[in-house]
Amino acid sequence: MNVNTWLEPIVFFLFAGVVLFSAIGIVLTRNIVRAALFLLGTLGGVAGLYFLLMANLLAAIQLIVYAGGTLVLIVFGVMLTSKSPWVRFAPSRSEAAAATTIGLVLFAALAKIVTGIDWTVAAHPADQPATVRQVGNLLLQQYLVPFEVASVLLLVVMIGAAYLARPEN
Amino acid sequence: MTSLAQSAGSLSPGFGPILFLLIVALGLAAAIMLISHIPFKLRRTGRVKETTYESGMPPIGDARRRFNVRFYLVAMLFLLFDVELVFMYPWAVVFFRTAKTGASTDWAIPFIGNAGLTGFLFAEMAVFFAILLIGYVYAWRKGVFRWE
Amino acid sequence: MIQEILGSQLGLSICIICLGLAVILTADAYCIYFERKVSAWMQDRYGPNRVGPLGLLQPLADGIKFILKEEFIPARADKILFYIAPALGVIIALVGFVILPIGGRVHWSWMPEGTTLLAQGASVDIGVLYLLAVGSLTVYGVVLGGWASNNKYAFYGAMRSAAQMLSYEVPLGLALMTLILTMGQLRLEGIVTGQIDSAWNAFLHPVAFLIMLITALAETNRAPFDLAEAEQELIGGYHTEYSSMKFAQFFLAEYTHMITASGLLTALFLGGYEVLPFSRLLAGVNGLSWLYWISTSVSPWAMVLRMAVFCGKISFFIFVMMWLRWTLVRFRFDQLMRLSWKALVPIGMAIVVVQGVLLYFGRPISWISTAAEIGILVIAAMISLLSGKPITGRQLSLVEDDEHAIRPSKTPVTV
Repeated sequence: MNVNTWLEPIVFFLFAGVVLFSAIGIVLTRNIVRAALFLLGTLGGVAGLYFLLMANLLAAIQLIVYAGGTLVLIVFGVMLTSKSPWVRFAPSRSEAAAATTIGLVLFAALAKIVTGIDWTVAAHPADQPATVRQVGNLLLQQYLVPFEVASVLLLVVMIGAAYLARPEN
Repeated sequence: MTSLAQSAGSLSPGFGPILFLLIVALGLAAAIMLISHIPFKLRRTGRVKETTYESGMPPIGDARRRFNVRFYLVAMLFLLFDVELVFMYPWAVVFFRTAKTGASTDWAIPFIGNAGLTGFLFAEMAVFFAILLIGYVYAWRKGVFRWE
Repeated sequence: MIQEILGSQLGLSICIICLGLAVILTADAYCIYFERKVSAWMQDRYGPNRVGPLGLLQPLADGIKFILKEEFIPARADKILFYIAPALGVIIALVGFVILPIGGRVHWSWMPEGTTLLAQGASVDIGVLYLLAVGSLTVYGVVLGGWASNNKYAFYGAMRSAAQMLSYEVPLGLALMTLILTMGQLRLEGIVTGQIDSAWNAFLHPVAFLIMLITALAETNRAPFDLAEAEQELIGGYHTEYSSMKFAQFFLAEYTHMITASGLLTALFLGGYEVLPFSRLLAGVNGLSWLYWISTSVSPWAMVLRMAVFCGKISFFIFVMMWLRWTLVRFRFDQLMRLSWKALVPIGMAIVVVQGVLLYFGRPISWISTAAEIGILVIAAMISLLSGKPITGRQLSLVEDDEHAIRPSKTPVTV
């Protein structure tokens, strides 16, 4: 009994649909807090796709750091700056044009990468989940320098945040 | 008889059941939401009734106002520690395995070899941790954790 | 047919999930009943005793009442978010329990000799991280609900609650780290079997256990950390404006979180489904071998007993949570923040460092970690006492430059 052969595409399109729907929602909604909720949908859907790819640790990190951390920061930031009661924002024409241009450039870059990749290698998905140990081995061996640099980056952010938001007197 | 700890990891039911539960939970939440709309209910609305409850006082202004920047700072610090911890989980698993079994087959480090591997891993995390500790001490000295 | 379903891992898992959902939903209703009974006992009252014998049908009456109550939406509320927030809370709360290792391994009589199945909802290699990931989303139900209500109290309650949950997730992660440094894996069932092989983590990591217990209370918004719904100052907190089944959904989410958090504490620190600690050693004692049999046997009867033991331990933790609620007073917000960032986080970091150093030296004696952790707690207490600041924290006068303002004393407090 192999359920995966027919279930996997369904689940993939389910998560991909969630990602796409929320992504469009973010762009179209005028209410910033609703946009944040849509962003939760996108991040959660991407985490679901990671789970489907058996990148369990990555999926958990996606949920913990992005959905559970960064997004809260965004929500706090939105609520912190909001003046108007409905937290609506109406971008001007020039802003919309700039956003569209940046979006198109990004899309072109991504499309170039996607079409340029030889997918035959990736067509055989990992049947064993990438375990935490394997990720750790890579992180501590091959990617040691980025790992240590990350701590310096965190230090910089921490000092910056503490400096900017220090109590007045 | 094999050890219990060994046999536990050999078979994993995986994420299928979690997906099943997610769908059931979605349905359940929707059902709970709908169930209270089914019975006939008296429904009266009015300007006074629809005001938010503020212990009987008429609400002044909008509820969604600005709040203390400290909350934002807490979220920021949480995020930083969260990222730090996320880096530490894989390290902890690898370090445990290496420290317990001595040399590990996963590894081949030039210059050090397998003998000093435990110390190498330990030093890696020590540096990582120490750098973050500086940030924590700085934030403490700056009075970030002082709420008055 | 039934044999086929129960005999496959997926079928067994789904059966256990369905059973678990039914049990949790019923237990949520009865938790509210027991909350009221426990508070009544502690205050020398009767508690609910009108509906059914001993008031046991009270949850049913509550449920019908919830359904029949009027749906209320305040003016200028964000209607969509107002509906989504409680539903989101329930969904996130319900998907957590699935990885709790409640049953251990089981062998049905119709299965081939030597094969076993894992009697739990799901088993993933990221284990605890899955719960952490799901738990970190809990904030949204509260924040969105409070924001959508357009009520000042709800908004403040939501903000407080969010800051509290974020602050206490850090020591939670640190406490988990010490466990991983001892067990070497994130799988919950592996952590349980590891404890059966040696000792309960509550003995080996008393301080981590304490931190975890405190953060579990804070993450579930239970007293003394229930600032989000502090009645005296915030009315109902984030669910002030909620009525009918939407209000019930918030309750459902809260009690489900309590059950999941209790289950996590049980699995991580109290040996999961093991009846008594050291049952492997006790098995040698005459007449006590059944203790080890329950923990390790693959017989279905042992599995049922294991599930019962696990549920019993969860009930114990839930009772402790209720007990604390009616015993301790609520923290002030500054005390709450100080407890997390200035006490739990540094102590948590210290025990992680100590466990790392112990592991580096191969941890020759397992009990050395107990001694080290208690030592850290003592040192932290000494520093706190000698620094001369009152434990409850200082409060500045509301009037600036008031000559009667209470100033923090510069001299050490003499005890």
